[in-house]
Amino acid sequence: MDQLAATGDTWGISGPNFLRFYIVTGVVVLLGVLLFRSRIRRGKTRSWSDQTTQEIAYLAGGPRQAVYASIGALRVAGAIGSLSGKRLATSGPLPAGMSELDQAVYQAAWQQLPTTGLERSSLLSPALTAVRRRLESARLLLSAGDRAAMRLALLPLFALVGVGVARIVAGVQNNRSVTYLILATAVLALFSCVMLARTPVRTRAGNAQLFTLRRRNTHLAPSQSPSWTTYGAAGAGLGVALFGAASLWAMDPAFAAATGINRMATGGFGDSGGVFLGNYGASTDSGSSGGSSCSSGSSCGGGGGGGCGGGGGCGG
Amino acid sequence: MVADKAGPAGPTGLIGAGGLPDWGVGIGWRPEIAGYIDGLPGLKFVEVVAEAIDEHLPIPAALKALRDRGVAVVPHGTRLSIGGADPIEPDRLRQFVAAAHRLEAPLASEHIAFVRAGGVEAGHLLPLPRTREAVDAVVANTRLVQQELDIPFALEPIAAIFDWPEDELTEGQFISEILERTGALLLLDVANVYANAINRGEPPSGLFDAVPLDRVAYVHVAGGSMHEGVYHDTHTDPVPPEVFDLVEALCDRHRPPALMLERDGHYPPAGQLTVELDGIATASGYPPVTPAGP
Repeated sequence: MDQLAATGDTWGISGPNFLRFYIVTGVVVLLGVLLFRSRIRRGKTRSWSDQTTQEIAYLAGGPRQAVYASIGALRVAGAIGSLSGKRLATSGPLPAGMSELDQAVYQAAWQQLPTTGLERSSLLSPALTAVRRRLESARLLLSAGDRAAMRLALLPLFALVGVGVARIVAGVQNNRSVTYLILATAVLALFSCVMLARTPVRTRAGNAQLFTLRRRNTHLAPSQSPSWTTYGAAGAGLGVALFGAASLWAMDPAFAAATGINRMATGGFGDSGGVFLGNYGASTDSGSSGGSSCSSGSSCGGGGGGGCGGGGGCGG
Repeated sequence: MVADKAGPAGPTGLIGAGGLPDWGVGIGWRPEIAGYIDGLPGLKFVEVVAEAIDEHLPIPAALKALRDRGVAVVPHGTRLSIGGADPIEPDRLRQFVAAAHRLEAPLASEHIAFVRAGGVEAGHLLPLPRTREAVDAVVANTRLVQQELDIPFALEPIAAIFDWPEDELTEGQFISEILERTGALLLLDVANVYANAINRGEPPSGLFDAVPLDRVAYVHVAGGSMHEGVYHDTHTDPVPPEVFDLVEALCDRHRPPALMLERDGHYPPAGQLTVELDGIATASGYPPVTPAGP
């Protein structure tokens, strides 16, 4: 106990005591933060019924994938074609029973708009916003508020990192050994930064839904070279919705090239939510194995969360 | 033993050629239309290209799901070169047999054709001259397959766009002799029968009187197209009404246990596939396998 009062201790607390306090507090705060974020991320696990192709596409890859799904469906229906300058054009009548977003994309083709940045066009924004709202209220997609709360929850962790840094600086000035404290602070800082960078887009319920839908529709994966004529416009839309721009390229490479469809655009969210996409195929039942390693969240996916244009751009 | 492997017996419960149950109407399983096939409620058998079953990869999930549903999966070889003068390549035979095992197949089939001669690959199926020598070669190779395979084996005569000048036997004699000497079953391609007859200027149903119809394991029904006066069995065109008529004529004489739609490309809209499957059901009198039925 005399260590406590020993003179010359940084801030009047002995090194070992501070380290113990620091580690215990760090673990408790970290667990608290994880629990808090996990509760937000859980989403709703009840079944998601009457989902539209556009909702599935938006859930899988954000607004751009939703637009691509409409383009795929309209293309297979023979309603749209391409012009020079990556512009869309109409090539036939709008088929009956198409969704609001399909209709908006058809309208964009009528106006011969380019596909680049089409998801930001004012023509499409009402339909896209409606899709996003429905996904958020179904607790499949995290709202901007959810994502902000998940980031704010990291404040105590960063504060603790700050305390650790301050103590290291003071300890060094006091000629004390700070090796273990540096280690502890670095670990805490690493956790905090990783969590900040990996703020997800989808809830776990959203990931699970997507996983189920992809497994149920393996026949639409590009690796199966699906016959879009057989599956029709609805099948084509769902194929692009679930498996991204690669499906659009497989469907009609000339059209995809002419309209500048971004082949790598699968997962316009930057896929920080981490639902598997890779290894979906070789026509095997890799679904189960591929999914389990990733659907837990941070183990895969591209890291940085800003896939759709700067931070919270997709949460809106 | 064989009947156990065959899955559920047909609607009539009758056992047909080679102890195989009545499967009724089936379809050639291709990954491109796997989603459509999965949605056929009454389906009891599919055929799959044997070489598509890669021994190093798991069986395609959709195919495995059909198996689990009790649908019989029949591997159909295209590269054994049964009609080649040389013995079958052991490696190809091993892969063929392995595919049949992995699919728990109740039946397997190959073409009476050659794809390889003197070590050179033709890349597609070539017709044999109908000589006694060719019969001997086919019989020898068929026996090689049968030694390794513990399930019935069916042979499919291919469409001949031309006849060889050295032909000694009629098509019926050629097929009948091979079947008799090997005990193999017959996979009859009605579209081929039609194509050969048209191209030779003979009545299409003539062959039905020349081959043992009770040995037919199953039947291919495919589309084709006329090109410069020659009918090509393309498998990528709609089934013409004449071929459906021929199916009816065949079933009037002796209804085979199973008939299937064979489509290898230019897959049509789902509705068109349904029309053709229902067409086979109507022509054969088997129950429809499609959701709505005719």
